[in-house]
Amino acid sequence: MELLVALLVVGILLYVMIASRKSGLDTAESHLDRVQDEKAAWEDERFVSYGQVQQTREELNTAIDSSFTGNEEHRSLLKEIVNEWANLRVKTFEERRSWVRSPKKEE
Amino acid sequence: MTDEKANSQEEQGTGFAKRTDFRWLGIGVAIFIALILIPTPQSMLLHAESMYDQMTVSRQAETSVEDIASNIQVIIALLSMCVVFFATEAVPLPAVALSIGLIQLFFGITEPSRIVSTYAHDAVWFIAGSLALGSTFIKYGVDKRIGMVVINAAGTNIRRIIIGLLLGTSLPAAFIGEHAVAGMYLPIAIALYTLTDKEISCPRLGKLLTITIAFGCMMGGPMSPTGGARNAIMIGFLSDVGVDVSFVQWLSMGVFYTFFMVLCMSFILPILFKPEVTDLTKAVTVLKSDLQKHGKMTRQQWLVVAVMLLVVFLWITDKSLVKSLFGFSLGLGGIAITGAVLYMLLGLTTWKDYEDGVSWGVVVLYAGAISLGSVFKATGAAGWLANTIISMVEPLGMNSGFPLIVLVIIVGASLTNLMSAGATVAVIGPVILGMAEASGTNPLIVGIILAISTSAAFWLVIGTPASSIVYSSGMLESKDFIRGGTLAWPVAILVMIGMVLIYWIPVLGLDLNI
Repeated sequence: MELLVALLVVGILLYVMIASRKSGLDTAESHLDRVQDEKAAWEDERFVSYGQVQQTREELNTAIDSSFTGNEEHRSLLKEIVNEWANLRVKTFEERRSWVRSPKKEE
Repeated sequence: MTDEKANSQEEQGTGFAKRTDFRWLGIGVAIFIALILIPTPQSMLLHAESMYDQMTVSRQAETSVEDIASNIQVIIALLSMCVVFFATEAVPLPAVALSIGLIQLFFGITEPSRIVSTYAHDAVWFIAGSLALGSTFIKYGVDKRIGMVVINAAGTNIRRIIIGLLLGTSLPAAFIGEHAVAGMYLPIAIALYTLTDKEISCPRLGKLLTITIAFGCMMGGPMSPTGGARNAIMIGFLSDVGVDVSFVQWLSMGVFYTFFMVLCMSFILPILFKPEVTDLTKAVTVLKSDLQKHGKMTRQQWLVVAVMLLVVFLWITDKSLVKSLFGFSLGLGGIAITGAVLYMLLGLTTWKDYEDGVSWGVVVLYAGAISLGSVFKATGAAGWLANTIISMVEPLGMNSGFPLIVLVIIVGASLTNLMSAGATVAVIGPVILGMAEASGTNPLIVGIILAISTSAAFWLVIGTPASSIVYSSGMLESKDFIRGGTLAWPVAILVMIGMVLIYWIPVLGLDLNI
């Protein structure tokens, strides 16, 4: 009788362990999916390098200068928005890169 | 995976952020109640009777055979419930750790004034101090310096890089958390793979590099007491049975496993995941130039290293030089906390850094494990369960000596694939040590081999934190771990058996029996 109870308990515990591993695997798969989606989203982005952002910043600033000659307030506001956007883009690149390529971030 | 499933997991949270899963909570509590309500087994009553007979008259006046048996039954039920919660993480684990004390309190097993002391042990200080030291190491990027050294020293041939990665991950994993080591090396592996993949498609190279990191981290843990909380818990359990393990003693016992596994895996892994390219000169050159941008070691990094070296020196000399200077040993925990406080006194870190960088939930969890081990032994539950298992395995001849050690290795290496290594040691450690004591087998050998065997979680992507981290890179599939584990697991078992037979007993002079 004692042996039967012991076997039953051990059996239940083994079932619990195996079943919980399945749920753990699902969590790992879900995490992997998120990482892959994130990577795929980066690949779809229009601006993917520091150089591209700087070039676009210059182009937009030139366009603003030539288009808003009569409205100084709008001109400086738009340039501020463009510069903030460019800085944020660069910051995003730095955060995305690993410590191998981004020494400032880690040390 | 469906969106609903992913969302539900998101709501549940992960790790210590996990909320209660009521299904598993119900099963755990049901097992606990069922085991309390079943009639007390005859063997348990007999064990309680023999414990009662050995008590002093004054102690006998305070208790009875039925009380002792009832306490044993409650603790066995508690252990079973803990197995469910540790395996499923259905309840926030620190809550499980605290429940261990609460059950002792509510069932009148331990006096209220003594409950807190069951959580207190040098091993708990050791875990807290080691985590704090590791967090400062990581804060200053000193861990990454090790990665740079490995890349500079490993050369450009894939076999040398694999040996470099195995050594470069396993050696730090013996001192800082394996998740940190895996997180540090993964970008290096991804960079090597990505830079090579631009020239020629090489998915197997990606698999080889990333699985090497996971396996290397697993193989480093057994080398030193700092290689994982499971080692500290085992040191705590061993001290409960009167065996003191020094840092050097553990190091001298564990180093064999790490180096032989590195040797074996450096041959096996490149065969299992045969890379498309063997020369990574271009990738290594680009990577080296990237790493050079980090510049030289700063003064603060040197200070962090100096304190760490001092701590390791004190750990090594604790039973010799330190003891002769102070007249007593400082203990592994005392030294670890000394280092953690020194970092603060030198202005290298703040308490806020420790709050952010140290998983205090882990400390609470393993303090709970220590409490469970202590009450398991004190109530006689360990002795009863050990005797029961011994009588079951006796017909197979595995109840003592070398066969018992083989049994412990197989059970530990199997269970660690179903539960975390720390949980495996926490729940079966006291039983295994009870079996060693009852059978006259050396508890030092049995205890340390159990802690080492729990590093063999090769089979699953969730076997260890390092496995999950490398899996998230997207270069590996679940079947790659099964493929790697199919060879690595039996090799690990053989290395452990060989280590006891040809190193621990003849070279270190350990006695198999006491």
